[in-house]
Amino acid sequence: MAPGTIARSRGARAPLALIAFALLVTAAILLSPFYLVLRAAEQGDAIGGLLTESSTIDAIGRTLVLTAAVTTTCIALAVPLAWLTTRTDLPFRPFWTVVLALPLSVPSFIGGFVVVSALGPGGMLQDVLSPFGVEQLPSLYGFRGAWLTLSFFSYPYIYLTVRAALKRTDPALEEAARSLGKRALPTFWLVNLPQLRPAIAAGAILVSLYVLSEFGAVSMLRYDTLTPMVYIRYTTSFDRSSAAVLALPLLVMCALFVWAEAMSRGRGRYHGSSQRRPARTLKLGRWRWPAVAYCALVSALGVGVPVVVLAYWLIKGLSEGESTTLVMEAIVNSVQVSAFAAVFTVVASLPLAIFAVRNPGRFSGLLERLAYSGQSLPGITIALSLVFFAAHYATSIYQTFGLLVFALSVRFLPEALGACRSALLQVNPHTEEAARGVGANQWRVFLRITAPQIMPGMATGALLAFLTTMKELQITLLLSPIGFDTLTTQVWGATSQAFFTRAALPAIVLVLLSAGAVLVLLYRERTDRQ
Amino acid sequence: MSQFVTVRNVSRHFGSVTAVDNVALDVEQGQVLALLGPSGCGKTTLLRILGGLDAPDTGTISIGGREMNGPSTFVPPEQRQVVMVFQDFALFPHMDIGKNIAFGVPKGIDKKQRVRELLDLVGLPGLEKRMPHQLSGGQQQRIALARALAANPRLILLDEPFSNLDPSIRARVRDEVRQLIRAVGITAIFVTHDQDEALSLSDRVAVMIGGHILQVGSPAEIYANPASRCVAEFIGQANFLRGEAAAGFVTCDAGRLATHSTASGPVDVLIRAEDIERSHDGIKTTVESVSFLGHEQMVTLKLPGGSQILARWRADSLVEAGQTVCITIPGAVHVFPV
Repeated sequence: MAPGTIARSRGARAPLALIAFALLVTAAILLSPFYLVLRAAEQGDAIGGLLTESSTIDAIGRTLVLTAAVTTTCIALAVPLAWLTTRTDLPFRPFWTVVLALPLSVPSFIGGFVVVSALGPGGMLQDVLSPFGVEQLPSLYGFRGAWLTLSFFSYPYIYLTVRAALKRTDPALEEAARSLGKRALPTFWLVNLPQLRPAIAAGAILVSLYVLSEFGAVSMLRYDTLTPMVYIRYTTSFDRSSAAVLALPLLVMCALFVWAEAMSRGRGRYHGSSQRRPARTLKLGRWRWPAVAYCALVSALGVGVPVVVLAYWLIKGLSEGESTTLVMEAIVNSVQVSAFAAVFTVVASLPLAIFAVRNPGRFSGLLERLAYSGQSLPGITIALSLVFFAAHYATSIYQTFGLLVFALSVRFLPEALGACRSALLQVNPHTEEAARGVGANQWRVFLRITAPQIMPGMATGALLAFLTTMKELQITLLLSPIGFDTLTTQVWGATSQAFFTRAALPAIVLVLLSAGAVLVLLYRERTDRQ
Repeated sequence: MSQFVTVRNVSRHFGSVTAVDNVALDVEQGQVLALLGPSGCGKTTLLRILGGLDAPDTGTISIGGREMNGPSTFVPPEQRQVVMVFQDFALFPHMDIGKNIAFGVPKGIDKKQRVRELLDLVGLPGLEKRMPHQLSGGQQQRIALARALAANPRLILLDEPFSNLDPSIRARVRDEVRQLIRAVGITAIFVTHDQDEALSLSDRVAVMIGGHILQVGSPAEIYANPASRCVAEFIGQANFLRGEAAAGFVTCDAGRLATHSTASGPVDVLIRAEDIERSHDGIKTTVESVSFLGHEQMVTLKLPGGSQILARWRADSLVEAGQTVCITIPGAVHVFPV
């Protein structure tokens, strides 16, 4: 019998407390977009004017153009890389597998910092090249800079989803195509690619949402999309509610992308057979070295350049006597915020995950989908909304540590939810039922049977939430208590004042921490298969 | 004799699907009952309802004199003293065998001692420290049973207990489980779609099809006197021919045969593959195909009237396709009015 039908049974009905808690968590996530709309509505007739201003229309246009350009570029970059690292005899394949995912550990604002501090006025190349009489470098500001920077730091989203899909698909299908007389390349076009479409779509949506909510890099590279415009409006205008109005198109676009994702998911059913053999490795032959050159080029730009540039500024800074005490303080603050947020997200997502996995149905599915949608909300909208909310109803919590943790938890709850969910899915529900049959009540079953089995998954979820919270910029910038410096705000502050040497150390710490998160993800990809 | 398990008017719907339809069932204490039916007939749902893992939409259930399900009663699974042994065994993967068995041992009983007793009982002494994944399927099965028995249940429910086992060991494990259940003397209900399993393992068989229980009886009764064509289809290798019955006889493609009933008019005639005998005279048939099974052969025969019939014969004298064979059907047959 399908687990879905078991679960709707009255005997196995979820405890009321569980449902109530799941509802509460979902409501907390939905509060921020809802309240933002409410505040925007206060502008009344001015809304139309604000939204049709030419500057707004231009920003929307730029946002869409950048999103489309970056997403297309990422697909073109990532799909071949995923295929090379899963299905071919690419030399040093394990090495490339990891290295090609690492650009993900460069937060976009550090990517922006790397590009600006390398190519910009007073930057590294000018330092290095001025003795040779080079005064003028090609301008990196505007569309080109933003497009290339974001593409090379966000293609791993697609690389990872496509890799996972390639590993999931049954090689028997390819083998069938080959035995029916198709050669390797036509097989890829006719059999693999259609199967990969849902994975590419899922990855592409991730990239699109990422670009949509992008703030750091586009600000530094001076390509004014909607998100930085909302931020500027908030920090510079007297009437802060007008920033809420500008955030509306952001919410609409975000909702459209999420809807598109749901559509792509609905079609994307994998029918992997249970008895899967590893796919046959394709011999690249004379294409071996061109393939290596391609991998090397992409990783040189995505990993090599940031490493070199950050190292350059770090050494320069240390030799110029840049202080490290401020950085230590920022590390402590960052760790504190992230640790609280990590624990909070896991605890909050657990009831939701249990409800959705053990009682699948329309209601629990809806709650879960709503909770996931929090992930796609641009950080700026969550931050803005909570600023307004606190200023209006609870001035005492405005710019407090607690509100900061809460906002970050709303933003990153889906990460923990995903981890808890997949951990729960791996628990055989019969073990829980067997435990009840031999006399254990629901609490004892949870503590003795369920919790020990999902512990590793929950720990992974907490770790991921911890590391991603660490590199968050927009919410931290808007909601941090005054004088509360974290690693991200330090990098941001130093870069915007062109103190490149000062930004280097916290940036490096952040990149290393994020690299940890990427390695966790890669590790999970490996263990998920077992 | 008093009924230990009483099920009355139990129905269970999933959306527009009726999985269990107004079912009544009685099981005596110490009896082993098989719920036999094709997959999707609702037998597992009924089992889960008995275990308290699911609740019926209507109906009452009492077990050992205690009302478990009623209009306003629902006893949660942990208070029923009814344990379920799952098809996939559902051993706790994070606990060793000793802890698995000890999990359900009631308070006040020495756990170590009890675990040792049960491991001896199931014939696997000394496995306390092993982890579930280190055991073979047959061993996991017996541990699951030991874990269930450790809780001192009054009723044990087994969901397709042998379907996850390799066919080569299935018969042996089945035997062991039967002996074990008999030795403990516990009341047991098990679900299966395998008639051999049901007939060989149980005191009574309940045939369930489409959410209904169509017949309950001893294995011999069910085999000898199937209550309907549906039941007959499920037990033994059944052939059905169209016929006209009158006054204790039926006329069909297989000739004029004596019947067990006094039905008259158009009927379905049940002729089991094992009831067809080869003979020197009788009905002339043509062999359509033969499948050789080692000690037996399954032979598809074409009757003079054109219909086909499957016969099961010993393989000592093999037949070939195209050959003409004479058959007789000794004894009376069952007919079911159409």
